[in-house]
Amino acid sequence: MAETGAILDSLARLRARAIERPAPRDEDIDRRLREARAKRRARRGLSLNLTPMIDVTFLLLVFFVCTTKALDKQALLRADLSERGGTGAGADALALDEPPLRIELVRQGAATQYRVLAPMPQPSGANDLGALLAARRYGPGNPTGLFATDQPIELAPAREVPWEEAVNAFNAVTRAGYTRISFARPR
Amino acid sequence: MTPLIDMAMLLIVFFVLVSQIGATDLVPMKLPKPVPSAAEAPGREARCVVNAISNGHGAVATWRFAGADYPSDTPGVQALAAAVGAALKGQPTMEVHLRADADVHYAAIAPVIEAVGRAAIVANPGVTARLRVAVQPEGGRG
Repeated sequence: MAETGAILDSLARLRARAIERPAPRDEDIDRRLREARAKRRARRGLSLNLTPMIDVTFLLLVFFVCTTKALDKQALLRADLSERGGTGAGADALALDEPPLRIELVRQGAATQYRVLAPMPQPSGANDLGALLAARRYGPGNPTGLFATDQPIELAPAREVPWEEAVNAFNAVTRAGYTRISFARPR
Repeated sequence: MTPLIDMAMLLIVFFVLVSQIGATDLVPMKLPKPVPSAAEAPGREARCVVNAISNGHGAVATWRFAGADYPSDTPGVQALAAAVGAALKGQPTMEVHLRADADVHYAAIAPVIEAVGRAAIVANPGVTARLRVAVQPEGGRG
């Protein structure tokens, strides 16, 4: 019984002390934390935490690596190689293989000359070739056109024609709206 | 411990990406630049890239395909075409990108176009081979 009394006494004392001392306010906690941090810093000396900086640097690196990969710095010209007289889309097994329209490129000095093996004016350059062929392409807007859109066209650059000129001609014919263009073996 | 793991992961991701870019073997070269251009932007299709590395005098020094070099003589071109055919086998929608220097003469490139076309037909009979000629985009740099 005496023990219970002692316990009750001490509990009452504790409660009285808790009422006496007010709960620490937020500012007090903040101040104490600030002081503790300052003390710690003073003990260690000023130091820079490098880890976040390196993290961010690597993230930036990865980001730029990814974006440069997405921006492939090249464009592509469609140059499908269909089997000669083969089973291209919509090919008719009984249709005769149309003779291709042959466009020869010859090199004269530093210039490339174009020869279209068809009864039509000869082009002076790649863009002229494109314009001439576009004007002769049969379509709803051009019912008197000579060549269908799927007219096979054979580009035959001479051996010493630079690739750039061959690609220019290819590009011009593509721009003129033709879809079956092929490169021929050089003579 | 956590920052260490963070860093390790970042390094792994970084090197994986870098090694992938190395594997796409886009050899730097002066591609043709037609103006105005009918070329399209590269899509997301599977692709393999044939590079013609110029010797600076209008001929091809070596052909590079999938990280391997092939000489520009007839056996080399045959081997290159065989490699392209093997890559195309069972993948009829795969594009073959042809990258050649603007100054290379047509005579050096035509045999490869022909051989690759033949290899593609052998690999996927009856399917149109998707050859793509790489050019500089219009308005692009350099």
